[in-house]
Amino acid sequence: MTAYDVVVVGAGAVGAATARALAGLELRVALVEARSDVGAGTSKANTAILHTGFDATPGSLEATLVRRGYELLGAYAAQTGIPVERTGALLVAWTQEQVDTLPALDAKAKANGYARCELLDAEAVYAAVPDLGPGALAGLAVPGESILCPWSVVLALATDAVTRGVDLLLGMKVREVTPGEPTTLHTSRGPLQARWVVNAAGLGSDLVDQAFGHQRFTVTPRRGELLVYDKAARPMVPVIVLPVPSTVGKGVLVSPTIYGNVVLGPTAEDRTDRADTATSEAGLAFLLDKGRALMPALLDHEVTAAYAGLRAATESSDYQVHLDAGQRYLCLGGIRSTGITASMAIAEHALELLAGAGLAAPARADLPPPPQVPNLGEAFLRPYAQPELIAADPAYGQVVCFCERVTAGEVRDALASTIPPADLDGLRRRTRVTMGRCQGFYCTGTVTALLEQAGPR
Amino acid sequence: MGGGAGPGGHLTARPGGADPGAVVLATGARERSRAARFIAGSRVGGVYTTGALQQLVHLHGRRLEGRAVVVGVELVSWSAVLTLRQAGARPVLLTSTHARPEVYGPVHWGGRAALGVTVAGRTRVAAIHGSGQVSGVELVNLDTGARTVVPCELVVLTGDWVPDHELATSAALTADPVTRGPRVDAALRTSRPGVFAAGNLVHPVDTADIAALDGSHVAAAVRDWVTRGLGTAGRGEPVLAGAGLTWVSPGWLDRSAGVPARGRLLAWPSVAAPVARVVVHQGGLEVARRSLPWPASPGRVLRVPWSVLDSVIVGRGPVTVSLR
Repeated sequence: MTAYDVVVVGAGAVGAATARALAGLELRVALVEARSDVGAGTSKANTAILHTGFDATPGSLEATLVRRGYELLGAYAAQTGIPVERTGALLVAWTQEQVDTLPALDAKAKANGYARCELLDAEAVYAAVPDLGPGALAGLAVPGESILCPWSVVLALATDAVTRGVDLLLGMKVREVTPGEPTTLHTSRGPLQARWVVNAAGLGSDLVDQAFGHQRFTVTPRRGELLVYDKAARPMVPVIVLPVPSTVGKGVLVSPTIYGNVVLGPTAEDRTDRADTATSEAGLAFLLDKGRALMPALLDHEVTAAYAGLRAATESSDYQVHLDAGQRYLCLGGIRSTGITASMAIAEHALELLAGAGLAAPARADLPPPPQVPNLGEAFLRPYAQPELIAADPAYGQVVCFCERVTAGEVRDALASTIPPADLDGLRRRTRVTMGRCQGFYCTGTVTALLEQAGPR
Repeated sequence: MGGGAGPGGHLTARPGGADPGAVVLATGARERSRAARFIAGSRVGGVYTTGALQQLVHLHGRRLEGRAVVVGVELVSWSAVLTLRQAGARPVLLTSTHARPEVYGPVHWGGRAALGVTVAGRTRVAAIHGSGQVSGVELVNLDTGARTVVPCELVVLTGDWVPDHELATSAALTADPVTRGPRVDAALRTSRPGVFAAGNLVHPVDTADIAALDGSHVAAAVRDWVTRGLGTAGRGEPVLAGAGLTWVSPGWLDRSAGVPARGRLLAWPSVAAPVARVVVHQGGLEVARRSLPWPASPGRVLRVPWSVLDSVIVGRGPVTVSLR
């Protein structure tokens, strides 16, 4: 077994971006993932916002990397077809105390290098979002905040990494580590050797860090439950409606989604189980209660889906980025909420740190172009609406999932792609099948049959 | 959709486009999903609506194993029981929030006896448990608040119908305030000239034979529209569901529309009554009252003779039909 130059542990947004960046150099890189798919942990279930970083803690690593990542990912999205909608956000103040906080938030945004915020009076707030519940007193517009498809982000970065020559090793859980020259990673599928190791294990990042002998932080999974409302409600929510942050967290938002729905959430509850993505009766009741105050008319609409995600929260509010040059080990842990936005900047930062510690390699001159991901965004053209495409390939005219207008051609493409889905959930994240208002009432049978025909992966 | 359909309007169907003389919406109804029913718990495999279950089993020959809990006690719930058995699974329990059986007595008692399934009334499903696959459902007794977890490998969510009204909504058709399906008159005309709606989209949900009756009924109205331009609804009085009913259909009384298919007003009871007493109000006054020689039960369409609206006078305000 020959050692990899670098093994990246964890194929979420941060791990995929880092592997991709490393593969831009003359290095042999592996991307190792415990789950059966990329982006299937903390990267998959979140509020799907491309953050400007206006409300980050000035001077923190997070603030720096979110600001840089916003630019990098925005540009990469345009190259690869990751859908992004520049909707803007509106923080709404419901109490005098919150109104008094708004100028400070504006000042904070400026300290973070974001100068486009604008204070609004109640009339302007209701003009922007007429369906808000009664009692809004003032607002702060943040025009740069945007919505995106988080699944496409990870898929694009990981596909890019693989086409650049990274070995993607799925279903391989790192259990123990023997640091050395090279370091040996003991995994569920046998040992793996690496000269350098990057820990991007998300919800398990503290455990990997401990396997290297450190006691620096503990991940306490913070569960966020969300309700997805029917597309008929989307016109009511033209912008991301944010609460004014308080000491108890960021609170509940109402946001349009890139898929054309409306999302209400998240809750914030510290858990112990790193895999517990169940929703709770209390959580759903809490969201309905919040939603009733924020936008009562929203609750008249049907709920399309409910889900929960886990953020990799730690004792610290900032990212846990630690370099151990002696062990040739870099920890990119404790990255929550802003990880999708910051992913490419974290990767850039990681390469600088590794280079500083002695990982030297020339840049490759022969890089393949970045991949094109299928468009899952409702605001952009999808295959069912492209007559020329359908004329050239009738499978794009054969709708499999009517709610989401997913065609047989898109399912076929996903199953034959560089990183094919391992199961129905993976196919959902690549095509949107069964994710519409009927939640598979009409298409479950057909989609299941298509997956089975494709065989095990 | 831009304008109505037919004379003076058109309907756009991308790609290609079409400009028909009339449009009939017959998009049907579906069962509410788990999320729309606010059932908490793990995201696990083995949770289906009857629609998804029947596709898997009847169209794709899927075999299923293990114990199944069926949520709902409507006609379709017993259909789910039969499908589960055919697929190799063992239905063990049906749950309903209602106290009484929701379908015809013979079906219910016959089903219980022949199929060996227990029925739990006054029961709400609070959560589904499991890891990867269903391991059980958490039930709440609505009277006592007591909770039990019933072990099972499959959960089938039945009934709880919602019309597939996406096209109707996008065409801005006047909708029923409760079902959000398009409101029609007795000729199945919607608020938009040349646009018609029929079947379970306007009465979620009746059996397939009744939906088919709508199909032949609407054809006559379409002919009248295409040949004579008689197609505008919404000039009469709204007919609304009052106490004891969730919806009524047709939801408009326009004398020019004639009588509905089989001369029946369809209604969805929210309470059970051994004898259905139907009361009609207009402008706050009781204008008709009729006792029907059949019972009303939730989960089954109540058929009311259209003549119960004979004494309504169009122009005197909205009509409310209630069950006493």
